[in-house]
Amino acid sequence: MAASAWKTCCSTLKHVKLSTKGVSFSARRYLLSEAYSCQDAWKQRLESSTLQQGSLNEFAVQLRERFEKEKKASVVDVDILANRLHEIEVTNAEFMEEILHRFRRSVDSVPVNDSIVYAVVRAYIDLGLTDRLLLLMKDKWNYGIFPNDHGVSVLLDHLIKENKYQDAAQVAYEMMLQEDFNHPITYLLSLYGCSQHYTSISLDPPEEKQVDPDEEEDWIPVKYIRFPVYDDHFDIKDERFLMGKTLYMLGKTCQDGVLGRSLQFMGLGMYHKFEKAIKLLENWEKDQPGVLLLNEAVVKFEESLVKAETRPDEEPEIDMGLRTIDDEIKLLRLTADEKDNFIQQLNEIKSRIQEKVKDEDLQNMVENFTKSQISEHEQSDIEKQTNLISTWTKERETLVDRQIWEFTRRQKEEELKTKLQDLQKKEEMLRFFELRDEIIIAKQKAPKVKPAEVEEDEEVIIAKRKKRRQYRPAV
Amino acid sequence: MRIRYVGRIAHFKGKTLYEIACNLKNFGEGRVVTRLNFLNRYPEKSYYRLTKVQPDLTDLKLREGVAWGEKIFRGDNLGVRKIETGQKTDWKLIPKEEETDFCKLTEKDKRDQRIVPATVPFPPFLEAWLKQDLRRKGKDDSAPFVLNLRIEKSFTNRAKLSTEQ
Repeated sequence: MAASAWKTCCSTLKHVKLSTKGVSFSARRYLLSEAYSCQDAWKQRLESSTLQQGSLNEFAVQLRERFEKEKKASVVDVDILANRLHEIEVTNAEFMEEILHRFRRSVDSVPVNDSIVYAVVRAYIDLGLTDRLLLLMKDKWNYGIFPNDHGVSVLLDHLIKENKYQDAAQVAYEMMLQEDFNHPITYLLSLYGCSQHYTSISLDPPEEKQVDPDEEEDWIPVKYIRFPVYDDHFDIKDERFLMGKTLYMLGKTCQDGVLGRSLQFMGLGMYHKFEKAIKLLENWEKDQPGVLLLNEAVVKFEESLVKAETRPDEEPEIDMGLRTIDDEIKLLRLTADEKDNFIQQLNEIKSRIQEKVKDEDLQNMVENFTKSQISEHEQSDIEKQTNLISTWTKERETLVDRQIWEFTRRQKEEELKTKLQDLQKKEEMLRFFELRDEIIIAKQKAPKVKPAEVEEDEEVIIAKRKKRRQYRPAV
Repeated sequence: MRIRYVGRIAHFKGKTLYEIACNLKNFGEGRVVTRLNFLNRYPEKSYYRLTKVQPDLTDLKLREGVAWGEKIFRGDNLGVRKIETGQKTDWKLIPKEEETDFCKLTEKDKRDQRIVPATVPFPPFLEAWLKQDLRRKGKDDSAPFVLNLRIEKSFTNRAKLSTEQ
């Protein structure tokens, strides 16, 4: 009885999902302290008068209209919008993103304003829209979201806390594309995120689209056919390569030797740069005493090598009109001979370094490494960011004051102009008979402007249009 | 449906400078870029170290904009100059890993100094004519007929006359 009751209890508990949002368990992994996100200083910025005026939705609509009419709006206005983004409803996010897109395509977006980018990142984290934020970060041309070190660290910390390791890895890929892991906290957090995610990436090659040679072709005329360029950096689409390159870069600057070498070796394997990896390993074998690598790294490398896709030795060149970037990527693959060669070399090295390979869990090593180092670098960051926030607030206030001053000045100028015109008209009226001769001469000298004749009868308009188009040259 | 583009084939095989810059923070300040044409054409190394890039983001093709960078052309550092050819799809970004190796200028990258003679003989027919003219007038025609060469100096043409130091 008790056993069956216990069984049903367990089976029901399996299907119950505990909601952990907003509740802090002491058992959850906290890498950064609460003070790191500078919530107090960030909320304090809202007390300034520039961010308290009026309804945000009306302001956004006005900004959008200004973009449509004048194709540009001042940087301060977009700054104010970005800083108040946390107030919007989630359904309006697309509207706000459109404004950001239009701002990016205007003249004022160069040089990129750091405060706008930071405010957007913080707002999206608070609203819980990290998925949308990742899409914006990837689309660099259209949105240009390059957050500063503190912003990236806060974002990574948030994603790791929510156990969204895939998204954290995506942010790490972005940092890799900038080739910028200088900041210690960003480095440690991206290392942690990648180490938790790399096991879920399958090393099998993605499915290839079968090319049907008899398929109907869509001919598109262009002035020049551009050569499809694969620069092996910004154009990488395969997640294995992205993760591999990120791990390699993270491993290079790692202070722990064994961990660094393992990350580099595994990363190069996932990235399919086998020649480079084997050369590195041979160099380490000569120079480094003691433990070289983790066993896990060697196993993963071998798996990547065995599963690497190959290309036939000689393929006919594809026509320029049909060539795409996938064809360029295929050219970088191994041939079957090279693959066998590398497998042989790897087996030789493996037999030589069997004693120098340690058997430890990579994820545990990374976790211990990050936790030991992360708290040292927090304080300087917090100070820097609080200073930055206050400078941004002051700059915003001065710019808003200046904008208001310029607006009032323009208004006064226009008032003066209308007053002057009124005075001139009055003078004409009052002194007509005195200045009659001069007025007649001025009228003769003035340019003759014919008032536009607007045809109001619709049939006449249509008949005229037909006659105009009759004599158009054939295109 | 497979797409086939029909048209003239482009000459360059790279990206525009602003396509590269838009992907980078600060539009690629401090990064090293090269032109593939320079790498193919000249044995000496040429690259630019960018100092300021201002792409025109209103342009849909990312071809317009201005950039400045330290120009190292054929092994010679020509200082910070404006880059006017950013719109050519010929540019390549050098990864930070390979930067130090790539930017090292060795003996191979030294351009030979081109020394040009200070004078050059006259065209032969003109020389013969002028000599005949001198003889008719009864003047001395034994002096050599030479033309003084003048070099149009610019930042790419640094040839020297043999009489100069």
